Amino acid sequence: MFSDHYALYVISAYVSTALILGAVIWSSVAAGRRAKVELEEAERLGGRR
Amino acid sequence: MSIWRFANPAAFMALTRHLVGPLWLAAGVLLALGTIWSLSAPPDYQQGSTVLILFIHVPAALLAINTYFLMAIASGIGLIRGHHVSYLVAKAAAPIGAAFTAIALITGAVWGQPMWGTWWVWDARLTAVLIMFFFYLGYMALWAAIDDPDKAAELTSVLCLVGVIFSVLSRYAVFFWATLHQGASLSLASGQRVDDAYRDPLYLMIVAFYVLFLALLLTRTRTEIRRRRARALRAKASRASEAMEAAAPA
Repeated sequence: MFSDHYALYVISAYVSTALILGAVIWSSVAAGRRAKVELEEAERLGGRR
Repeated sequence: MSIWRFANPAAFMALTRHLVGPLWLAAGVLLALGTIWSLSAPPDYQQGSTVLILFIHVPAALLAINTYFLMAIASGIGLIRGHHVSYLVAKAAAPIGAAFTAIALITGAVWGQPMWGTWWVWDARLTAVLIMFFFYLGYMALWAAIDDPDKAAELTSVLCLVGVIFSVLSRYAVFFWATLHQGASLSLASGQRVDDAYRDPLYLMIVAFYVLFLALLLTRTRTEIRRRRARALRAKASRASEAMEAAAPA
């Protein structure tokens, strides 16, 4: 697979892609969870008034 | 049935509720299969194993450009028809497009160093993609800088439409000028340009990246809709509270 002297380039490209995609996926899912809680709290607040 | 009914936030949320989970699952499976297949492709007789970078560079570059087109269309619809969901789709797409643009730029540089002998050249296509990346960053910064969401939506849409020229140049610069960057790797008009050994895993990776993009886009758009709804409810509760205080006897 990486039998030539370009292995470091290929690994760098795949690792940097994984890191960037991982960051976007993690931030998207985390923001989604926060927004869900935020909306539930706002609905409770609205219901009390 | 009109497509515009999905411009209603409630209809959009109801439609996408059952799509998000399967899309994440499909993206995970396709990315895993695509990566395994890509990394098992044979080295190219000229490029050696750097050809493996193509399997992430090409899908990322395609999505970098097409996400900007999508943002421009959504922004245009938002400005013309005043649909908040359109603005929110564009807002949700921006960080995803910026991420794919960053991946395209980084993987391109990492491939360019051993193949071209340089990490970067001020070639028309590369420069257009870099400027498009700055437009993504500027678009997100403008959303963050303006407190009034309606005003932010309109101003960011105008900025997005101004920058669309660079997404057009990113795609077509190779046809307008003699660039160091090669022409399209995949083209229906010009026949097959990629060997079968690389073409099939490349197609799978393109599909995987698009499915991941859809999963991210729907997740982020749903987040933006929920945030907007929560903000509206808090503002309503705050107004009701102020009205009660004003009506209460001193």
